[in-house]
Amino acid sequence: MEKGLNNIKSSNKPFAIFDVAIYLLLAITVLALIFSINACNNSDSNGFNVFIDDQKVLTYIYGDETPSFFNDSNDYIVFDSDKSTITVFLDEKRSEFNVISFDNADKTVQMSNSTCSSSKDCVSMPKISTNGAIYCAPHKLKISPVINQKSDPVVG
Amino acid sequence: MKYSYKLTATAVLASLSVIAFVIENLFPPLFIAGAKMGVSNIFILLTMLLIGKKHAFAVLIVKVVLGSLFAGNPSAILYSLPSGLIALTVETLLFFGVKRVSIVACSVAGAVINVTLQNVTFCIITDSTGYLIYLPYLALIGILSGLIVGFAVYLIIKILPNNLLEKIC
Repeated sequence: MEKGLNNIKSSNKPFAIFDVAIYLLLAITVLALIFSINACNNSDSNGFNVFIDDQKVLTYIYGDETPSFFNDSNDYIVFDSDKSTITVFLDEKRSEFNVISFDNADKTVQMSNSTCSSSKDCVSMPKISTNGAIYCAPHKLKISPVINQKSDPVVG
Repeated sequence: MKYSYKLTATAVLASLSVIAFVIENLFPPLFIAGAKMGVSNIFILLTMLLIGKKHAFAVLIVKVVLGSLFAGNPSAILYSLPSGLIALTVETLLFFGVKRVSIVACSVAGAVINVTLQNVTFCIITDSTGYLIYLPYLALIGILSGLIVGFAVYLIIKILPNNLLEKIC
């Protein structure tokens, strides 16, 4: 048997001496990441942007009656203020879509439904408020927070 | 060990890895999108220990490519393959290069490297740094999954009888 395999077979414990060094290094790395991420934390967010294939299609400021549409996106985006949802259709047949849900009170936004894939990773991404992003890779749709921006005039 | 035995054993472990990957994808992610337990990595580590390093890399490539296609998420290959290759390289170097490091610690180190590199690759490809805020939490999930995978591999090696291991290796 190989030496490594022999060591595992002969040892009584699953740990070894140099494991401490590895765990210490990992702990320092994780703590450094937590501190650096918190240091970059933005302050307030009053809305979110929606991008499709890196083109901004919509900006919504929490509490507004309607969002601001860009690049004729109001043709394929449906805004429902009662249900607090925005449905983005990605094809002419309207078979591919993403449903974005937002909360004006909490000032948060999340993806609530999508036809992207069987795993629907974008739907399981946590709500975002001041930081983070929600990305739907198959549909190339991205949601990112707007920081302290006033409403833009509607562009038709 | 005859090459045909190695090839057959590698194929069996690769199949088990793909099956585990596909089943894992059926379950919802752990706390953060894309975070999985990494049960399929058990078979990659077993290949590394029982058969050899090159065969472990082959099992990894087969798992990532076929598993992503069968799970219906081919774009995952872009994120998983480079990070998986680097993580397995680190695990191999740690286990065979450093004398007193356990397979559990190697698994933990590999898991953390894998998830953090996947996250960074995702941010680079999507040109979005917003997802970087999940990096520390993904690293913690990586530590947990690395511990589980490492312990599972350790227990499997301990349980397997010596005469069987001598036939396989």
